Amino acid sequence: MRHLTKILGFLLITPLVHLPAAAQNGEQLFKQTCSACHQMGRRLVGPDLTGVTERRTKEWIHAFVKSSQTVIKSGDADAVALSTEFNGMIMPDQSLSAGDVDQIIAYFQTFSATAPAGTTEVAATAEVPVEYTDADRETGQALFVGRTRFANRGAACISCHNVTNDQVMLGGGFAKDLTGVFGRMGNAGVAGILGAPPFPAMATTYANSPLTEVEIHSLVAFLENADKVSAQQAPKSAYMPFMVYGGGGLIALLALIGLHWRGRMKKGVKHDIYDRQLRSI
Amino acid sequence: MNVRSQISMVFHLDKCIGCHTCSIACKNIWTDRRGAEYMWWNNVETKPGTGYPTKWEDQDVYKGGWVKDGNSVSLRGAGKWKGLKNIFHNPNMPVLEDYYEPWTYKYSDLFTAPEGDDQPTARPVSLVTGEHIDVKAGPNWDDDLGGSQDYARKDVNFKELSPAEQESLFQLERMMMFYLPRICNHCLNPACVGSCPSGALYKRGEDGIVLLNQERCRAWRMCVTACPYKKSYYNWNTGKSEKCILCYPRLESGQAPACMHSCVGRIRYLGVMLYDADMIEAVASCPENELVDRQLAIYLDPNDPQVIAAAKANGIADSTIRSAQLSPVYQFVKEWGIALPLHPEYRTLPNLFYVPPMLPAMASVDSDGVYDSTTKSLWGGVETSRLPMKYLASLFTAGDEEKVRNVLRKLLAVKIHRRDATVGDLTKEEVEEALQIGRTNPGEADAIFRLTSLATFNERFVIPPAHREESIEMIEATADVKGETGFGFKMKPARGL
Repeated sequence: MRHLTKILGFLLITPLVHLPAAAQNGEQLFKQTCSACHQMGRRLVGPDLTGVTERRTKEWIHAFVKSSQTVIKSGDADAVALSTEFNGMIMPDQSLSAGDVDQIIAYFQTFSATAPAGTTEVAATAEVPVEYTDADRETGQALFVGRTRFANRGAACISCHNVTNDQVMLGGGFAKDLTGVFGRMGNAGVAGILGAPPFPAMATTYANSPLTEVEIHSLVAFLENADKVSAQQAPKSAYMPFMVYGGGGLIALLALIGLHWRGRMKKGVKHDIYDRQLRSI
Repeated sequence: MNVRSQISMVFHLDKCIGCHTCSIACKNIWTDRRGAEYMWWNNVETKPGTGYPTKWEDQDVYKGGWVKDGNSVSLRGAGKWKGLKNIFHNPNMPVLEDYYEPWTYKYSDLFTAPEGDDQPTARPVSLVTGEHIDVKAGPNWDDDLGGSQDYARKDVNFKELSPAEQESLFQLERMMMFYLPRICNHCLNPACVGSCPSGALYKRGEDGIVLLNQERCRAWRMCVTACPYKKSYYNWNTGKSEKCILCYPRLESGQAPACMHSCVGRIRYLGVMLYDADMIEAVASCPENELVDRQLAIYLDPNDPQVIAAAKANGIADSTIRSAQLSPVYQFVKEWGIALPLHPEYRTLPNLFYVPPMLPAMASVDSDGVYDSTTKSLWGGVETSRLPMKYLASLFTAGDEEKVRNVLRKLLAVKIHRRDATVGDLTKEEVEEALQIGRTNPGEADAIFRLTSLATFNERFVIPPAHREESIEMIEATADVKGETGFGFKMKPARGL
């Protein structure tokens, strides 16, 4: 009986392992986690991954996905070359399991083997110029600073990001400065990241409150403009306001405490007794 | 009438010899623990002096007790808003320096010191830090220092006295001191209970003992501020406050509290008083000059049938009412009126009363500068007391000198009457005049003399039965375990069934 269940179990599992289901899962994972920066047959924010399995070993891909910076710092020639080619842009560490990466690699393999024709197809549709109106920029700015709330109630960008722009107040310092992000990544890259954030903190923040297509479009419009006009904007610093409000506030608070509790016991009741005794010694 | 019973006390200050046996008895039983070393639930102070903690009577510093607030009272340094404002840092508290840093001696040095030219000494070490310290103060550092600059002259009760009056006090011939033993007053209107944000302090319903629940205490220390007598102490080791429990485990088994039981001078009396709890707020908030009289009026006559009926209706046991009728405290405080509360102006309605000390002048310097130690009469008059009446009034009657004078006159009358009875060298007129001025009669004077000088243990301590068996029966069905417990074996016997 026990043997029978084992055999049955084996029979059930075997087809899953051997059919291209791994590649299918891989495709899904790729779309969720990688497609913001990578596409097959086209260079986006990151490099085109067509045929990557032929260029690099499996181990290399595993290591790079896990922590690209570690690989680059270890002095790996390919990795350093890539880093230089992409102006030192950092690929964030992915919290994918080894199994997940294997599935994505399986997806890479099927892709490069079966669809060289698809490459041209994607490449052809890639360079559609996108037009941004002033209205888009306005909406984007409102969304960025949080004046307008995101449809799915996600956090406003300014909570973590700063953009040097006279129209916008000083933003957060938790994440990268986005003043020149459009120039670095282009509209497809920025839109891709906004649609499926690859950065752990950002992914968690927007996991249950994704941005809509329209919102992404507006935000990209705002960032495109911010990049374009950045040279004429005065950079803001948090240093002075913190010194003034923080330091001044502290002094005011201490003064208030001193005033309110001015009648408190300032020294022990035996102070004068000890004082006299010490003097008489 | 809402009659309740209260364990009350009288300390007869003329009998106190300042031996601190009470303090030691209390310390040995209750506060000889880590974190409690500096606590003296019972302490004996030399007056005039600064007391313990130093200047505890100075409410400008410590903000203890109640103040009149319209037709009610509010706490001077604690309470809802004041407490909330200071809840994370209470600035009106005595710190360790205002008490003293408790210490012991490193006795092992006496045995382990290497041989040398000098005697080995046991150096003092702090009981808080374990480091060597220079001892600068103790709980009775001013013991017997009647005229000292540092302590006697800084007595808070001198505030009302003019500099000239103060100076005259410290003339060699007038220099005096007396002892003031203090424990928790188990007040009718306890400020500590009113101040506790956690509700950890409570007044026991059956006998009015004020206790501090160690499980509910959250160390806010508002009670330390609020108690004007500074009889609530914070234990730095357990993180809870503690106070005198009036040895309730002893009381419940019919024994006098340790401080009273051990008292060498037999100055302490303990008994039940019945009082009207409905009057507490009105009494506590009355004008200052009425405080003593109004407080004494709150205690009811335990022989009055109306009071007895109301007491029974309130669930007070017959045995407690009987104890109240025999109470020595009732005699001292109500019948004879010779015991007064300590600092009634704090408005806590304390239940510890003091018979004030006489301190007669034994000598004087006449106008020629001759030191004269002879007096016409044996004790002189109340007027020639070395202690200014103003000083005693500041301690016991919120400034009413006449009240203190009346008490002292009565005490003097008792002395003169007994001198007449035992020695008989006084003229009849002298004795009668003294009794008249003292507003007393030979019968009362004899009764006062008897309870003051000859009273037995059971007359001094009339402890009501606690009826703990009834309390237990309210919670547990004691019959369930009848025949089940009481005798057992550590090892099962080999024989038998």
